[in-house]
Formats: sequence, structure tokens, C-alpha cells
Amino acid sequence: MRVIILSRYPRFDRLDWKRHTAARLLADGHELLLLYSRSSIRDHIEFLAHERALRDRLRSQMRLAGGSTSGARSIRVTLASWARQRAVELAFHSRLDEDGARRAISRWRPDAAVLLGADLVPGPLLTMFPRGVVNAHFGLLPKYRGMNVAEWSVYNDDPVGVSVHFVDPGVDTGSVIRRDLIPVNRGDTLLTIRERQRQVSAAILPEIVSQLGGRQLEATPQRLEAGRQYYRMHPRMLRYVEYKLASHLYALTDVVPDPTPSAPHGELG
Amino acid sequence: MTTRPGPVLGGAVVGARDAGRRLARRNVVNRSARKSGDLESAISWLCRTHDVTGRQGSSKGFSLTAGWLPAYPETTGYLIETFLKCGQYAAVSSLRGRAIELGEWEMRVQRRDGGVIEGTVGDLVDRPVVFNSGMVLHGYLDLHQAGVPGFYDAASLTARWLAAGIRPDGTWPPDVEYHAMPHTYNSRVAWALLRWSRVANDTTAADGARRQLGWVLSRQHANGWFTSCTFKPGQDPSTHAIAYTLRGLLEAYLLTQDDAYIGAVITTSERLMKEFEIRGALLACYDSEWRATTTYTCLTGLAQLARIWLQISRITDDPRFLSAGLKLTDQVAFYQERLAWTAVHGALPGSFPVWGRYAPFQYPNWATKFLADLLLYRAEITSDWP
Repeated sequence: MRVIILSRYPRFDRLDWKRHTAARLLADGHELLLLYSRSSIRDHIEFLAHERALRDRLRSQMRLAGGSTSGARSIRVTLASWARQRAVELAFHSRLDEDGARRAISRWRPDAAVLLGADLVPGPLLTMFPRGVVNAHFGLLPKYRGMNVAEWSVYNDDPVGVSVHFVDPGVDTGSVIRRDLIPVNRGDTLLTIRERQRQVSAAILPEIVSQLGGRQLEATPQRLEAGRQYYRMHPRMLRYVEYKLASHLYALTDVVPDPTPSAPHGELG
Repeated sequence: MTTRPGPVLGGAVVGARDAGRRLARRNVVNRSARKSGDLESAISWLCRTHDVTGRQGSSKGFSLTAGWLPAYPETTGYLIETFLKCGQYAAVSSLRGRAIELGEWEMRVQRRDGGVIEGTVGDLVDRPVVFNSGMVLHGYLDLHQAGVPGFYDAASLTARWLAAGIRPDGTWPPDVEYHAMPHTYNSRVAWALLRWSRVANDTTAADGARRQLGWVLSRQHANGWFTSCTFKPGQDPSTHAIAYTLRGLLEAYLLTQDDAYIGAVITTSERLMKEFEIRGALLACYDSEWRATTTYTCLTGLAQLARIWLQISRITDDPRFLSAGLKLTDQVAFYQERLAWTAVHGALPGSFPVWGRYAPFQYPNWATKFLADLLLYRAEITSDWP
């Protein structure tokens, strides 16, 4: 299959799980195009300003929680340079809705797309992938849509997980293909939980992409009223979540997840 | 009543600073702005609004073009609550004394029929208006419920004047309305009447309040936007007027447990919260499709909305409103004045930038009142956080 990986900020795109996902897709025999948005100098200046603030915040949270930051470690090679070494095609654009991005996709004639930390995909682009666009969302759908969903799950004493879903024009509203629970153990921090979510995503996304090429995948439409869209959590609440984890106040600490978590039906939590 | 170094120089400094802040950001307010806010300096400034009138009511605020403004009965009325609550929170008895003085002044300027005049005492307009009367009724009730004797009769007079004027459809006649039009923000007046009905067992007031609230609900669109949520005909609703409307409905829900009221509050708040979370800021006015129609921000309205969102989070247990309320509080607090100039230090401007069309070049006393209420409420709900 011809698969486009959508990501953003090529100069800073260094997370291991993205590289692992791309490597698996390549090993499975897919042809890849890595299409980046937010690749302009201005985008990167904004990223630096945002990321520095975020890193400072995370460090201060870690200090407060008495944890380590090892969960956030990643290799120094960007996904873009890794792709270049393997002759994977690359395309750079500032926004996904600009004409250049649309033309690049159209020229390449992809079968499917995978989002690896990408911007929202504009509705008209979604029709350019006959096998669909899939995303690994770091929360359990349909209950947790949007941002910081692992944090919100811990805040609400709900299970943490990963949901792979088809992308539609909404925010995390597409049909759910698979859900996996993530165990939360003593000593975990938000960073270690997120790292675990990334590892699970890197393992299951290539499997699902391979299935896209064959029979129609079974996916369950979401009942939007069964969940909420969440937004970025306020720093004071984030600190509380870290405190909750560090103090083992999260109700599901050390709870063994449901052995059949990936069933797409029903609601967890 | 001007204060050195003088409004003109001060206005130039504040204007230049706001112009710089605006240039530094593409959006109208600083999305990552975060300041904790200073309740003490806000209260000190509010005390100054009382002192500069010779303790005859609270000045409408400080203008960068005209200096201190005359006392304003409407906002003096709801400032009483702020002084009482902050006095209790910080155990400062002088604030309770000030609240009593404000109430006594209100009684001195109260009309014989119980109504409260439009505008400031300097305007010489002897026309009673509904909203101002409702806000002063809150003040009388706050004092009465705080155990201060002598305010029941004044409250009764104002409440009876308000209740007698409500028409069968829940609105008041144009001659007692600001700009001769009905306003959804009179839900705050209905809230005052509901409070009064509890104190005095006055079913006429309660019935009138319910009719008014029913009318307010009838003005809400499916997307949460309100018709008639403006101060003047032909305007788009401002966050200030929307927040007034929502607060009245919210408090009415707490008094009556009528789910229709909280449902309406949540519908509008969800829409505004989404706008705030996605765009990072709220502008001053919105059309019926929730498109921003201004390029400035009404800081007064934001302070009110933040308080409402924090309150919703407690009522509904929806933590998204807690997070959004805290973020909006950070944003508003960023604009609390920190200039070492006593005329404005601790105050909140009406708009950002200061020349925005809502109270341009002014620090209205109610903007700082709502900031103080917000900071106090945040302190209360986060007091046991680790």
C-alpha cells in the first residue's frame, strides 16, 4: 500500500515511537511518503517558544512529583533525517489546507494515511485516501476526546488507554477500530504513562494499516454524547494529577487492565 | 478629583504599554499570559473608589481622560457584597464597615418609590431603572443577611417597586429600562427578587422573577446565543452582558433548583469555553453565529465569565470548566494594573487594549469588583489543593 505519514515540525520531530512506527510500516512493505506541516521558519520559532515553556513546566512538575524525566528521552535523529537515509519521500508544507499539500497528496496517489502527531486534517483532504486515515489517540474513546486525555483520565479516576480510529472531519470523532488499556503502576508519572502510550501506538498502528489493505476493517461509530471533548489542562490541575500519581491516589494504580481491552464496543470507565 | 501624575500622562503610559503588548502578539490578548492576581491590591483600589467620594458611595471608576468619576449607585450596590465577603475572608473588619457605609449612602440616594436612578449622582437624571435597582437590592439583602440591622425596609421598598413593574410577559415597561429596551441581563434582577422572596416570603416577587427568567430563556438560541443581550439596540452581545445574564440564571438555579436555568447556562458556557480553548482568547462581542465582531477584549466580562465557569465546575463536577476558568482567571489577572500609580494600581481596566470600546480609557469600579470576586472565589475553591 502507498501510505502517507502526516506529522509536523520536521526540525524537532525526534520521538522514538514515530520512527518505530515508520520503520515497521516500511518493513511491512508499504511505500511511504512523509508529509510535514508547520515546516516554515516561523512555525519553528513558535514551536521553540512553546516547547521551552512546556519543558520547563514538565520539569517543575517532575520535581514536585519527585519523579524522573527518563520517560521523555528520545533519540537525537529526526524522523525526517531518518526517512532521508532510507530514501523515503518527504514533502514540507506550512499548513495541510494549502494548495501545495493537496497537490503533493494528489500526485503521490496514496491508499491510506497515518497521523503521527499531525495537525487536524481538513475534510476535503480526507477523501483523497481511499483506504482511510487512521490515528492513534492517547485516550479511551468515546469518553475522552481532545487534548491531555491521559491527564484528564487520571484526574477523573478513569482508565488510561490508546484508541485507534478512522479520522473524520471532527476532533477524535471517527469510528473506533481498536482500544488498548495502559496499566498505571506505582512510580509512574505523566511522562512514563505517555511513553507507554507511544510504545503501544507504535506496535498497533502498523498492524492496523496492514489490515486496511485487505478486508474492510470493523470499526464502531462513536456516540458523541457518550463522551466529551477535553482541552489542554490548566497547569495547577496538571500538578495535581502528578501529585495524585506520586501519592498513589489514582484509583486505578496497579490495577490489572481488562484482559480484552481492544474490543471496540461498549464503554470503559 | 484627579490624582497626580495626572490622567493625561498616565493615559499616555498605559496607552503606549498596551500598544506594545498588542504589537507583540498577533491575537488580542496574551494567550500564555499567566499571573496569579492580587486580591489585596484590588480591594485597596476599591477602597480608594470609596475614599475619593468623601465616602459618599463608590466612584464609578478612574478615567485616564477625566480622573475620578462621580459615585455610581448601581455598582456601589453590588460592591457591598465584595466588601462583606472579602472582609470576612481576610478578617478585616473595616471592610464590613465600608459595606455598611455604602448601604447607608444607597438609602440616602434611594428614590421615594424605591427605584434607583440611572447613571451616576453627577448625571442629575432622576429616572429609576430596573437593572440598577436590582443591583442595589442585592446590596441591601447582603447587608440584611449579614446581620446588619436597618436595611430591610429599604430592600422592601425597592423589591416592591421592581415586582410591581413586571408585565405578564416577564419584562418591564420601556420607561424604566436602560435605552427603553428589555435586557436578558435583568436575570440578575430576577435573582435579587428571588432572594428577596426568600427573606420576606413574598410570592408576588417570586412569581415576577420566574416570569422574567422565563422570558430570558425564551431569548436564548439553540447555539446558546441570546437575543436582547445588549445595553443598547443594534449592538452585538458583549461578554459582559452575556456574563450578567448567565450569572442571574445560575444563581436562580441555585435558589430554585430549576434545571432549565442551569441548562441554559451550560449551553452558552460550553460554546464560549470551546471558543476560548480553541482560539486561546475571547473577544468583546459576538454575533448570532458566535463570530467575534470586535478586535478588543472586554476584561470585565472575562472576569465575570471565569467566575461563572469555576462555579459551574462545582455544580456539575465537569473539570473542563475548572481548567478553563483557571486559565481565564490567569489571563484576566495578567491585565490587573501594576503601575506604581495609586489612581490605578490594583485596578482592572474595562478593556484590553485600554482604548477598547467597552469603558475606553477607564478603570470602572465594577471591573475590579468582578476581579476581586473572582480571585476570592478561586482562593476558596483551591484552598485545600496540594
